[in-house]
Amino acid sequence: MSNSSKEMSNFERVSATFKGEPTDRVCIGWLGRKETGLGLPQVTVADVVRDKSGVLLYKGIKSMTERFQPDVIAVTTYTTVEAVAIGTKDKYFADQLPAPVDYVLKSLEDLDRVHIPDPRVDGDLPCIYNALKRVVREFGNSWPISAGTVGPFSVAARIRGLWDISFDIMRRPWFAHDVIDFATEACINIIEGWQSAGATGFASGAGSETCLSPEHFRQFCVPYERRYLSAAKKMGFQSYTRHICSGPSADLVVDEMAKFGLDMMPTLVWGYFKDNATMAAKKKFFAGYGPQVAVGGTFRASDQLAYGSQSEIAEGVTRMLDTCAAGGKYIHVADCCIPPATPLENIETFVISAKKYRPK
Amino acid sequence: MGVPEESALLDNLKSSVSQGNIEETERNVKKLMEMGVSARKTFDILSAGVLHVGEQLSNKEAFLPELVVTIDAFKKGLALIESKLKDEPKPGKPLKIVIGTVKGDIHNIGKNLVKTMLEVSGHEVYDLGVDIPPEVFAAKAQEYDADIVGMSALVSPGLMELRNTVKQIRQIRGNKTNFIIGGYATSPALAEELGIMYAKDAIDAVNRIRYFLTKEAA
Repeated sequence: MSNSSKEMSNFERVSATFKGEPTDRVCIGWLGRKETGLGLPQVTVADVVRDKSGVLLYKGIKSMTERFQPDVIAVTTYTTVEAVAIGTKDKYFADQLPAPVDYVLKSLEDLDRVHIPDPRVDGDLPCIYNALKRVVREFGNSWPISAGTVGPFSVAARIRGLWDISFDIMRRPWFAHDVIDFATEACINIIEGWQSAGATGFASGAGSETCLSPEHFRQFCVPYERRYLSAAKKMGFQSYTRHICSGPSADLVVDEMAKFGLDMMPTLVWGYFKDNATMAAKKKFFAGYGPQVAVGGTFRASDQLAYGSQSEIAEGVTRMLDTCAAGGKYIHVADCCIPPATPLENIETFVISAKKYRPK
Repeated sequence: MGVPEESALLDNLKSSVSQGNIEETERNVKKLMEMGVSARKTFDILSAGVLHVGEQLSNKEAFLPELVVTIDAFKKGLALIESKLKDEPKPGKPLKIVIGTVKGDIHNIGKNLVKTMLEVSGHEVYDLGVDIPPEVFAAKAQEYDADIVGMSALVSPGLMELRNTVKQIRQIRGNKTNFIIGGYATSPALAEELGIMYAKDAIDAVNRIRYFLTKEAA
């Protein structure tokens, strides 16, 4: 980040951040898990994600956006929503995000029985689709708005099961490729829906792929993600948000993400980096692959943000920005999902500390 | 067949399990059985193959797919000796370990890996599954007279349940049951605060429990 005296609009700030141009302040990303109803008293996570009208999700996002004034809005629900729309069964918890309990692809033949989901009607996807339309109508003139999927490999892992797709990769790689190929088409169809509802950015990435070795990541993740990214580019999406989650190979495969085609559009690679210094180093690394790649994350949502005191959070934010914010190409987000029980005051400190931050 | 041949066969078995090679594993096990090698000795080598990949996993030299096929090969080899193994005496007294994922969390891969590593290390493991309430952990710890309760928590809301579980078990078991925790939401700091063990991965759990056993024996 460099200083710009003029107050910028959200669009200007985000655009300048990707380019590494001066900004009036640090760019604040989405605040994560708005979908859980943070800021909506008496509303549970299950209420929000199962509401096909999307009204509760919209209200949750509106509440968070008005209170914290981030620079970007993301319309998302939970990380198995695509798989559930394909037929995987989830368990819904009242106070946290759903998770899969029964995978739809139990046998090789099951792949012939599933269909590409329609985001307007299948599973809980209409919740996102309908909320997206409302959010775009109300905030689209002032905020970049994104929606996405967990990406081809993670959708594949959520319809087949991570254990079984790992087995397939080793014993019958052709079938693993078939499953991921199907998941890629599903992801593309879903984001076509998001694009028609008004999203301008799209997202990808979850933890399953960071259970793979770099070699398997190259074979079973990179080509499909490139296809997904290329399709999004053709649809007219203007930015790509790529999550890297904290699986065992996260620090080994992060460099492979450069092969996704990060030069296609402005890209944020966010999530797991070992520490602030690593994130700053990756910022330089990615700059060699794409002219408009930013990084973000590293601030641990599950303990630092959820359980830290406000002074600890403020100090942590300052330390991170001292290392990573210089020269732009940094967007202020936490490392992964913000737990539903996180005090709103902590999120406020996380945001305000960054908004007030000025380089030394 | 002499001792050097037996030794070479045992080495081959370990390596075939580590590589997830089912055919080789079964062939080696059958040959060892024909040679009269005890089922216990064969089991120990099968286990060593799994633990080797567990070490590689910990060192980021292997990942989940490699371990999945290793466990597959281990199970195929074990199936051949299982009936004989039951008839042979177990070396020493195994620890009784109750394991599960805490209430509000249904992630099971990490928990299953720890379970497998502890089983191949010779412990008696009682897997309660996922989304386990504190009172169920406590009842099972009492029922099985558990030496150790292992809890996995990947998502942070589970930490409150983890704390409750430790509290409830301590109320009924006192110091008779120890604890080990792991998973993304847990941390060494939390373990230290609760006075329990923390494992960063499956092989670390095995090593910490081995150290615990050594301390108990001393």
